[in-house]
Amino acid sequence: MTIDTQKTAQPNAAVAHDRYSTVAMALHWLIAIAVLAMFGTGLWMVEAIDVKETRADAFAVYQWHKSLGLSVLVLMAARIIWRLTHRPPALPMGMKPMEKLAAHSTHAAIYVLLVAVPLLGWAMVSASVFGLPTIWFGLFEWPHLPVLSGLENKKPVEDWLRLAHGWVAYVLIGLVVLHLAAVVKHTVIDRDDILKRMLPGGGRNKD
Amino acid sequence: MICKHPGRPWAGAVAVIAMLLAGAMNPAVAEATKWNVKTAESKIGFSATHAGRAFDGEFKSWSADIRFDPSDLEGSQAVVLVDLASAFTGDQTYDKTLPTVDWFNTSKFAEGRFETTGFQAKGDNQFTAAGTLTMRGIAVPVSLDFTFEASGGTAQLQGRTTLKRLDYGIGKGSDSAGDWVALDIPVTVSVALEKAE
Repeated sequence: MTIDTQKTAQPNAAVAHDRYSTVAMALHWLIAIAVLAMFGTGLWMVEAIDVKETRADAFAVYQWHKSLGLSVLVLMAARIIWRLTHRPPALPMGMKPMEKLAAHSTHAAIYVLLVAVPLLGWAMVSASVFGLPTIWFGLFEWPHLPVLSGLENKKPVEDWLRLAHGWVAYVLIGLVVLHLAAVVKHTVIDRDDILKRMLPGGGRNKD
Repeated sequence: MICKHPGRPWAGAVAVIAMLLAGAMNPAVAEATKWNVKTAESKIGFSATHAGRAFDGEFKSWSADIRFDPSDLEGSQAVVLVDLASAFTGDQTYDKTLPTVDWFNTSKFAEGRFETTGFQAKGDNQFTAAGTLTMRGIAVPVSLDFTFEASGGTAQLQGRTTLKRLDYGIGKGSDSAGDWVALDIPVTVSVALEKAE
């Protein structure tokens, strides 16, 4: 601690911004945990809903999945606003231009899909022939998307949106795996500090 | 009628007498004891299953016009009006779904109406009411088994029947096979009555 204080007081304090801000970290990890829960519940419930014994539980999990997915959408809105108004730490100097391009495009794609997957889910629920309301964690009614909820013939639209929600979610799973693989590569092979930029606590300004 | 036969003044009088006679012989004219419902102590409940899990609910708002006398079943009649939008299960997902177009469709058919057409005594304070239940504009014959126990100026009525929701087209679009919501819906009525003055 003492050392940290001394260091930040020195001229090379500029490197302090080589970590993400507290808000960016909080949003990253909240969304990360939520999205893992979304993958788990999503993959389980689509099977369990067709099995008589687990159907009632799966229905409850669907309601929870809807609530959490909409929460991710709201958190992503906050995250995008934060990202547009705050500069993230620079990538390690040693990275080749191609690697930087890969990192930036993967991050951008993950941002896009973190918005697209919940939006498609919301759209699919809105176009559902069941017309079930979404009660956010049992607390208040979340509205359906306009147009979709008023469609005359919902079935084909709902079917298409369900497929899209599922497949885009699979792509997101793939990107998250790629993201984690990159963390492992940077930590184990490149031995750079990329992981620490997203971790709270110690390690600040480590050269 | 009188106006129809201006040349025969007696025709009108005959018509009136005929109507009175017909009325006296018509069993639909309810003359039996009139009862008021003690709303706070009365309940129209229903139960169902969803995804294999049981749940129950009740209609919070309804009214009944009841004339009933075990010794004058001919002169007994009941008309029950139920505000279908008042269905309450305590589960918001269900409560917000039930009024929608595919279920009760309350914006178009706000009321359910049960009207008895006749009563049958089965002994031991037990009766069966035959009647017609109308929901979503579809009238279906329904019989309600009930017990009626009167003491002094009050009475207690307990009845039950089972409705088939598809008879009324309820949930036909979402779940016509009963994969999700039970097709048979048991309904119970528990009504506290007091003699009307």
